[in-house]
Amino acid sequence: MKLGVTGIQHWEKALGFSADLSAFFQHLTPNNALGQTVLNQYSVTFRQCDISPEHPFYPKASDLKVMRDDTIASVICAQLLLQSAQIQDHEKAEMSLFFANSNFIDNGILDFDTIALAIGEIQKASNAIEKNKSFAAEVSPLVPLRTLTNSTQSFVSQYTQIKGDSTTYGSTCLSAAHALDDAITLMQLNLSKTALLGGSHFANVFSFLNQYLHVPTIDQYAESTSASVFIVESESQAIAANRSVCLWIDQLLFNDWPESTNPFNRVYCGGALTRSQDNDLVSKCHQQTGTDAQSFFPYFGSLGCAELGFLLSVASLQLHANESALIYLEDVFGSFCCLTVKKP
Amino acid sequence: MKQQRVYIVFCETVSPLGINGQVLQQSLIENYNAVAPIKQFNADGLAQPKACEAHQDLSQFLPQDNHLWQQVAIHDRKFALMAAVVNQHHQTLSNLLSAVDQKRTGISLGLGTNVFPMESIAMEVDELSTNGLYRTLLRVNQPVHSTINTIFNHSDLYANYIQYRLGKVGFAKNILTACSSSTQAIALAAAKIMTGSADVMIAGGADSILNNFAYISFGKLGVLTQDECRPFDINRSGAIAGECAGIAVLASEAGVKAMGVDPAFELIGFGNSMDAHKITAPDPSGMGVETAMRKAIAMSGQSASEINYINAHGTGTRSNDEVELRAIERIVGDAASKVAVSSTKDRHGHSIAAAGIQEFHVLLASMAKGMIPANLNTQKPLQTNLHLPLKDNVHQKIHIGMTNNFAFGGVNCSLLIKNLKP
Repeated sequence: MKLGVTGIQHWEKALGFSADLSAFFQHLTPNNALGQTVLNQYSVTFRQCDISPEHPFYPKASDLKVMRDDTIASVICAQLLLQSAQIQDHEKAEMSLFFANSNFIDNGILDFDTIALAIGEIQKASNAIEKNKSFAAEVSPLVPLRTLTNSTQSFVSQYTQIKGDSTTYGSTCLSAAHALDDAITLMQLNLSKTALLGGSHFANVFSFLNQYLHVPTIDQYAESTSASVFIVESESQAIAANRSVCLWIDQLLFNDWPESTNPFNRVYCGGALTRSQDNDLVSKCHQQTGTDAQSFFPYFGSLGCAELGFLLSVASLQLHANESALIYLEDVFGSFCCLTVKKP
Repeated sequence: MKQQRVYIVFCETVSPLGINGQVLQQSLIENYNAVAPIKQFNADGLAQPKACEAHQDLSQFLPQDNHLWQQVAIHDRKFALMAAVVNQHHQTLSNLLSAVDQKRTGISLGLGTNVFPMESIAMEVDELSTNGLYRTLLRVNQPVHSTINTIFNHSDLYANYIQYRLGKVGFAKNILTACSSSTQAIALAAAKIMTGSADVMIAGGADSILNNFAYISFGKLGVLTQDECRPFDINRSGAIAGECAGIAVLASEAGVKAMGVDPAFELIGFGNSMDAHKITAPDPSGMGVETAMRKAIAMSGQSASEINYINAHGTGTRSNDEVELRAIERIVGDAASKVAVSSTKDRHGHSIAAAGIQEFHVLLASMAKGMIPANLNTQKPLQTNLHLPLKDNVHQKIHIGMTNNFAFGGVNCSLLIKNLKP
């Protein structure tokens, strides 16, 4: 079964909402967010969210209080993509939705000063009843909803009315590849014809705390809050719906390199959290393929689960007809995937 | 493409109903109810100081070879539960996995949110400021570069631990869909086998909300009862919290042959759907729930009337139970009186992301024993033509069984199991 990507949409602060990266490549902007010192010793860079509430697809005020910023970006990206791809209502009812998320604690929850105050109250409590009362007073009923792991998936579904097979994966850059893998699996089983896939990432101290022990050297650690979504469908479905394929999906391998006899025209890599990790990934890809690899790290830092969508987008932009590319993603634990794609 | 059959060759859990399958089965037979005062933290003053905990001492099953894993287990109960499953059955699991090509194996786990161990950290903080908090985190966390982060556990930690103990697999994925996480982890593991892209999948999950922060947060949603959990009762008032970790091994025909096992169960269908309604409540029409069950039945090639028993999601909440019951009624139609439905959450609690693997194991144990567990606490059942066994378990062969789980945010998943040795 031949599967193709028929649309991509992404968001990052420097880019805004965009369906291709051509403007970005005309004005390459390195991640210029101000460095922060965390844990009293590490210098890190987080580029965070800045989405205008005036956007026509901005969520309803009643939902905003339990939506993370990357969830808002994802919901808008998904609506923009479905609109531009002219997905019909009857398609949405059976469409699959596979989403990957990296971080469930955003800045609306993670306020260290407030946490320190709460801890002070807990420490002052003279018995368990007082301690539990302090806890209860500090915890907003919105916390469990705002930290709900499938929040982005559920809000995307609510705002787009996609009702088919649907899952949330976490929590590294590879998770988006697992989302793609399962979308492919369900299409092979004839359970789905069209899938909306994506990933989003919230860049903040909590994300850093989850990763920092796994990074060999913390030099130029950088992340960007981001979101990307893309549509994957079978060739027959794309033809029937009159949607053009921007990339064919050739092969997706986990923890294995493709045995390709032809060199790839382009190689893209992602997953690094620091400059030195990124250098290692680029050189590893060159060693394996003989082709110079491109990475977004210098411009964004890590894009977490959104990274795959961005790499597909650049492949779609840069490949010429019949050219192929390898997309290599490696997580902090050393697991990796190789996705090979071809331009129609 | 010829769809491969999916066999269930192993399933074990550590849960409030028992440390392994044998104890679980006995607990079900004896109608053991695990609800008891919470021991893992002092719950004095809380509206519901009772929950269902795995009451056995898990330390005997914790890894002895690496103190970092032990540290993780102190801060993260769901890791302790998962480690107890893996280490109890280490030999069996190793033997099963060693029989097949590692590249054709995978792990699919459904996991709950990682919770900041607020109380442990609070006791260590010496200066109430952001910097003071940072200093404490650095001190309490382990300053080494490894795959182990003792406080802020990455979702990948659990699959990494399984591979650390049992050897590398081809790929490992984490499913994070709240109460349907491990149900979906099993379904998507089955899908990989059905397409022929894997021969053996380890599927399951772990979760526990039995710590101050998570328990109080969850309580604020208003879904925990202050009384008994009474699924499908007119006077139901909410769920009781629980915890669990578990692993199932699914295999293709080739996998079964290589492992030399004689499976008793086959996974014959799964169905997933989204409500696309609201994050806070299920679609009151029950369409999403119904779709998930219909998809599972359609995949199996069976008819709904052939299902003998449905282990329902049945949380005991106002919003879930009636919607689920009516959806089941619509699906089974005239066969309603022949289809038994019960929720076992009244006796083992709601283990959130691990509810799927927990109730999958309960279903397999019930099918193996030829016994339908009763709705233990239900006194005034909702009006229905379905067979809702009350108080006493029903001894009856189960040829086809179903298990349902539905999550906050409207993620629905159903699994259909065939008994190969009824």
